[in-house]
Amino acid sequence: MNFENVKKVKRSKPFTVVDAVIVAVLIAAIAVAFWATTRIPSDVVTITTPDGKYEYDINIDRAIELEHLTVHIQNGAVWVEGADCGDKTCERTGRINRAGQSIVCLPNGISVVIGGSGDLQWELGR
Amino acid sequence: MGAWTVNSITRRLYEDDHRGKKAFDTRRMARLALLIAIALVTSLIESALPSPILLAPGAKLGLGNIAPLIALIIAGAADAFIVMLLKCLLSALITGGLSGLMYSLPSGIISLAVEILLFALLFDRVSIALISLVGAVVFNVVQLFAACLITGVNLIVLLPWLMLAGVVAGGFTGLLAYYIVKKLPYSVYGTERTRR
Repeated sequence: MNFENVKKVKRSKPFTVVDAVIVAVLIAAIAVAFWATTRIPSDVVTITTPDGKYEYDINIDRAIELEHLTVHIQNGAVWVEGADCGDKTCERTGRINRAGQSIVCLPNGISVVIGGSGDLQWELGR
Repeated sequence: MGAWTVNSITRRLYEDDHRGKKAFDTRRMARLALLIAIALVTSLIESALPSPILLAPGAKLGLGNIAPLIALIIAGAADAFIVMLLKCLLSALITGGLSGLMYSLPSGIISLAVEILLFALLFDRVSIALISLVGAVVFNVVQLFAACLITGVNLIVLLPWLMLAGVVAGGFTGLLAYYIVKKLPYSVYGTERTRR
């Protein structure tokens, strides 16, 4: 039993000044990370179905008709219409337009992800 | 200090050279068992409860990390590592999620190492809550990188969210650990005779 440590902790304060400094630095780092990840270019739409994986350019408007639903790509936004599943969660997800966002149709095993196919660079902001 | 033969390792385990006491005496064994039990029960109860954040099903506070932190304070770095490692292994065995070890072991080891360093070098100037907070952020970041490597999917966009979650959850569990150690009476930590 380390009694000295117990005494030290019992005497210590719940927060200190140095805490505030370190937390401020961390929050700043998080803010930078948020800013940097939204700058990752989101030019690839990856659609994964039970049959395979397909990639589309987000800047070219089109409608991709799949067996159970239709994926619309227009003006840099992606959304799903005409799903034949019961819950329509994918339709209610609405429009997505940033890297990392996704629409998932669990009953049919289909996912639509902006970026995320592994071709994004590790470096933030690129 | 001799060579690292089987004999000398065994002797090191059972005998403490400079004080002639056993390194793993009964008191230490009992304390370790208690801390591991607390770690297991808290993490298992937590995994049975629904997530505090509805949108993130996997998100949790990490109450199981309170026990290694308390072990670090009252029993030192070695015992903290033993509690953390056994908590990871046993909870993986109990919940049947052995593949989860690939995520929980690297992040657990690295984050506990960071906490031990902070406690040894900066404690008193930084609080227990901050040590736990930094540990949780490190835990989440390492886990994200492990997930990227294992699944091969680029998850870097989740990084700021996981760091933020670490700040909130780690700060909360750290405060809990602090108040547990602070509010428990001295008698819990041993009698006058056993304080050594």
